[in-house]
Amino acid sequence: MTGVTGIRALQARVIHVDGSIVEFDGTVYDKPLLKARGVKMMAKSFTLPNVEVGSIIEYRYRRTMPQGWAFDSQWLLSDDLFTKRGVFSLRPASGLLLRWSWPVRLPPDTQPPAETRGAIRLETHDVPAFVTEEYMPPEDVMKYRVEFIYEGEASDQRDPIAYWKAYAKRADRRLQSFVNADRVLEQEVARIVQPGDSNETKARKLYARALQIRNLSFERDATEQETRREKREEVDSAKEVLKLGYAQADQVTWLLYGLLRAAKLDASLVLVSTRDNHFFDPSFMNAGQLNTCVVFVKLDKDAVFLDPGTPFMPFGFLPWNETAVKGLRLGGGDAQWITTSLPGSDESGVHRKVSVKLSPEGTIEGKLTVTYTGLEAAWRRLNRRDDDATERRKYLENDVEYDVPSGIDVKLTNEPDWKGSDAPLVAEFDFRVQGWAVTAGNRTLLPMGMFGGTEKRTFEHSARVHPLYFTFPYRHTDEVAIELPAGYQASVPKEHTANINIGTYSSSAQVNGTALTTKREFVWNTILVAQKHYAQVRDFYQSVRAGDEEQIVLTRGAPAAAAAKH
Amino acid sequence: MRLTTLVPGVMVACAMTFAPAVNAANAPDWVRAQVSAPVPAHDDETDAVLLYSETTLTVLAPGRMKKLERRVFKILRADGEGYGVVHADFSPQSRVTAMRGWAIPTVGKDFETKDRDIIETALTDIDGGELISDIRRKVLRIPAAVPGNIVGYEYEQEMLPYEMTDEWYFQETVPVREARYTGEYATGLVPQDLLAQSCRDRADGSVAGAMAVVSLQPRSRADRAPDATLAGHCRTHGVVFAATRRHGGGFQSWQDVGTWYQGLTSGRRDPSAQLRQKAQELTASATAPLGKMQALAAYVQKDIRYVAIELGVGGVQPHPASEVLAHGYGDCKDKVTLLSSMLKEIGIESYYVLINTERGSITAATPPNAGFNHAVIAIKLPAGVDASQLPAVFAHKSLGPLLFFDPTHPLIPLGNLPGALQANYGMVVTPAGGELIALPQTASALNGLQRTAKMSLGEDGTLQGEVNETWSGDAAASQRYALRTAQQDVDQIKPVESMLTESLSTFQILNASVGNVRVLDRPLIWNYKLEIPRYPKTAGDLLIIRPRVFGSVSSGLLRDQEVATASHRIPGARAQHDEFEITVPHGYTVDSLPPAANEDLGFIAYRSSTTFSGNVLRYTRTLEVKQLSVPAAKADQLKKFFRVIEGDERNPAVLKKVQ
Repeated sequence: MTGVTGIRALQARVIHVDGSIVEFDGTVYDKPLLKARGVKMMAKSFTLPNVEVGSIIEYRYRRTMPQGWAFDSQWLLSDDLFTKRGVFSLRPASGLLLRWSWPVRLPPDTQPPAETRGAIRLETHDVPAFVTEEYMPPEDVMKYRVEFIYEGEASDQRDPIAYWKAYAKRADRRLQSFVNADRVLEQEVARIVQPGDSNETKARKLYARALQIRNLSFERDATEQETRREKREEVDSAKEVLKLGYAQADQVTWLLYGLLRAAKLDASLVLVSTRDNHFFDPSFMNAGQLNTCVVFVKLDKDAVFLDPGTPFMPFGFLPWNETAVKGLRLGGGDAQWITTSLPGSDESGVHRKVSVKLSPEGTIEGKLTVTYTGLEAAWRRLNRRDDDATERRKYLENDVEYDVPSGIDVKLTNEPDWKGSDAPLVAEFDFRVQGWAVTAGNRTLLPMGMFGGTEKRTFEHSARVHPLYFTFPYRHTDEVAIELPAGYQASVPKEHTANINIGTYSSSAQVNGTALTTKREFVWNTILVAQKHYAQVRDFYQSVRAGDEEQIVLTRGAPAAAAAKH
Repeated sequence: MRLTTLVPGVMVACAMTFAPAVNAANAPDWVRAQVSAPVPAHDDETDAVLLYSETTLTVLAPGRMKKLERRVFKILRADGEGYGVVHADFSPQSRVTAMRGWAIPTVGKDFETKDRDIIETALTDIDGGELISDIRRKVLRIPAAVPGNIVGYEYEQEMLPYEMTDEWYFQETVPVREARYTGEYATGLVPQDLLAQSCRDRADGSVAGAMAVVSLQPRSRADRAPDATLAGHCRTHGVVFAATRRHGGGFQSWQDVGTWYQGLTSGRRDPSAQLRQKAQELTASATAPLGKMQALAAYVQKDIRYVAIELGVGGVQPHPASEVLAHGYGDCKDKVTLLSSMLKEIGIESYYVLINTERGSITAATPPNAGFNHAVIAIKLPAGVDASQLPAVFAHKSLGPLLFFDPTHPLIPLGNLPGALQANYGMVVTPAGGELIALPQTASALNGLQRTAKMSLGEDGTLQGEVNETWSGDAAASQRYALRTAQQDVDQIKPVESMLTESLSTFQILNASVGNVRVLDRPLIWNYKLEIPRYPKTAGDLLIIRPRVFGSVSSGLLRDQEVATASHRIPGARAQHDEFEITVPHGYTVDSLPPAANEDLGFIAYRSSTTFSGNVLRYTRTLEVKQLSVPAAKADQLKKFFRVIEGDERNPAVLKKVQ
């Protein structure tokens, strides 16, 4: 970056298989990358000549920065390629306290970084190439690395307890300063809640009020001109949030905290670290990772976590990346750690109810209703919040198409409630699958699983490097009612089940005259599975696929000889 | 070679006044006039409509041009907000001298951008392997580009092009209400071939003197959307070329274009001593001419890395062969230059072939121009070489048999052409000039897969056996690419596992081997042993077996509800043949077998049959793709065709226990 950083002393060479060495003396090109409003980014580009299979290429350069700069950094020990040997060193800026840590262990036989001759040094070797896999934890979590963090003078660096106590105290001071408008908040509370309301009712009403605030963090990025024209004011307090009616996401959450406190509820603000990019560990004393906040409030019997700063969350639900994470609870003397709740599989679901007729040609046609609840509804509403009706229709139709392992015709017929938070998201479709049943002589075969597309494509490979990581527990249930053509008899397979504790599956069918009903349930109860259990998980998914491929045998006239079974 | 370098020109002094905005706060009249303009017909998936398009080309002098572009869009949907972001690519030969944008919101005052809002970026979406290029992009984001609002912009570009030809793409991916093209010529310059258009039937327009006005209404979604293709390419309809004479003679013919390029490459193939020595060294062990050609082709293909350095004329002019050899790297035209020079050293003539990798961009009906983005080589086959074994040979009426070869493609050997280049028009450059030729199309039998599986069914329902797959042509190249990019040994089997999972709920690959991964002129071979527990279903004394055990050739088209809206281009003719032989335990007889399939649409055909003899269930099928383009009108037929395949792939055989 011109004026800030530069690249100096670039040297490179190629060592050929025969031992000959060719020093690089070619052109180094300055490649403009970006130029805008005083910012200019350039890249230095060069290529080495006569590189062949077996050649060793070497290069080095020095990155220079103006004096006085100090910034957090990291050594990434995992690379896309196998690393034979890697040598790292860092000379800390003087006058600042630098801490370093290695959150994911270090490669085998690698000694921890050590400070010698004024620099922190590490040498590693034989680090495997980093691979990416489906359902893996965030890459940052899995890569070997050493993180360096500079702390300002205000931090207390003696130990994690002292560090977090000091940090919590500073954060709470800022929070109290923001909500310090007791009379305004009390008036607002008085306007919303009734004296006889239960704690839960009060909390629900105030949560609904907070959701009404225009959340600037989830709006399209406006240009500078648009923002200026809107004359948007800076928001510094809960009082201003109520007055102006808009705020950033965290400020909405702080407002709710203030309202709950004004309503005399036992509420506290909890700083948390989302688990979509990294997994938080307080022992590393990196306050920068506490990137959002939630409210913890005690109700009449229970307590709940709330995050009105994220739209569309039902009362008592946090967005998935804020669930099951450790958070710093403000307000006490010492730092208090609390783990946010993780909704069970019963609380987030997709239920598909199908009512169709089967034609003699093998086509099924009728109605499909899909009901999304809990986090299944919330993340869809959040992700599609900027879409128009057409885009949302296509999205819902594609969602169904993806789960049916065959070409289908599906058309949305209702107007789902995309704005709500507590209410389920319900989508109704006209539904048609041509050739769903296949004919074998005088028999017709129907597969048991209609919506197994996702499971069909999951964990295909026998080898696995990383743990398995899921966003949240869920329950997917299907209920399919098929009206058979007149004169058809059905023989159904016996119930198929699979159970590995963290996941269960069942599929069954019943027939009553020409009324055939199938039921399928897939439940997933965890978010993290160790790599050593991969074979069991893969076996479970294979069993699910086998269950979905069980066949219902239809015959015309007399009943089939027996139920199809393995 | 890059797409745009043949068009732009160098900077010239600005002689025209850039149209000013009416005032700082209001959009100019040509934008404001569109507020009341009727919106063209569109469906509910249309993101925006182009209300007004104006292109003014001013030819200042031979080799000096200036172009003003104006557009006004109405944003209809959130996805249309991208129409409020203006992009203009530029280089030292084609400077953008001014760029401004306006928005007229439904409520409130107009917005106008400032110069400081313009961002310059490097191009990040051009072909890989480019080390340095002088093409960059100016980007301007117009405020309030949200549904319901109107956005307009204009930018002006000064150019000194290599050819005095302009292209006008008057059809966009959204409906167009009005498009205007105006050519203005300095005194003494004569326009030629103005508005020789290839898609006249798609628009209603008029030409008056040097000005064309086109009103365009999409007739269907196919007309307004980029073609959805099997190859994933896009193409915009409606190219109009406006050419003018340069120095008394522009590109009046393909011969002219070729003469120009021949001049650019003059002396570039002259050999150095090192090059002579290398050519001799590489061919020393080969005795026959074809062997020598293969040795040189393999060297340039494998050992010369693809690295593009395209500054100024370097976008179209190759580096000298001796430099390419010395560095060990180069781009497509550099590789052709080196290979041509080396071939000359062993007494074989060859020629540059300029081509556009998007088949259909240039056809026999296209006016002569230099809209190519790739270079390959045409090798004049010496006497005695058996051309019948080389699919990429074209019998030229005067030059004799020409063998086309793409030394940039790392995985298609000499003798074959990548699918995208087959049946595509390329310009062969000879000392006599250029000649547009349709490159040969490889027979479907030489590209695809032959799979045989001999399996036996145990009493416990386990199906086990050996599978052999022979991959050829582009299909083999795809397999090789997947194998090359595997990071670990265990990754190599992953494509096979994915293919099997598509059809089998449970399986185990007991062992596997792959052959000829690096021997490009041989088919790629996969052999693996497979075990499938509980394969058949039983119903009483019936055994229900799907004879097509794995491997699906049905298509994603079945999932595409908009399949009928666009034509489909296919990268190459291909064929797949599967044979599954399943030996079942003794004591079964046929209850029912799947019906044979026999579908032939002319451009694509599918046949399958199932037999049971002794205790062997045998299934064979063949899919043959014969043509490289399927018109949109036949999309419904194609969908039905794949539906037949899907049914055939699922159909079971029912065997009955003999009592």
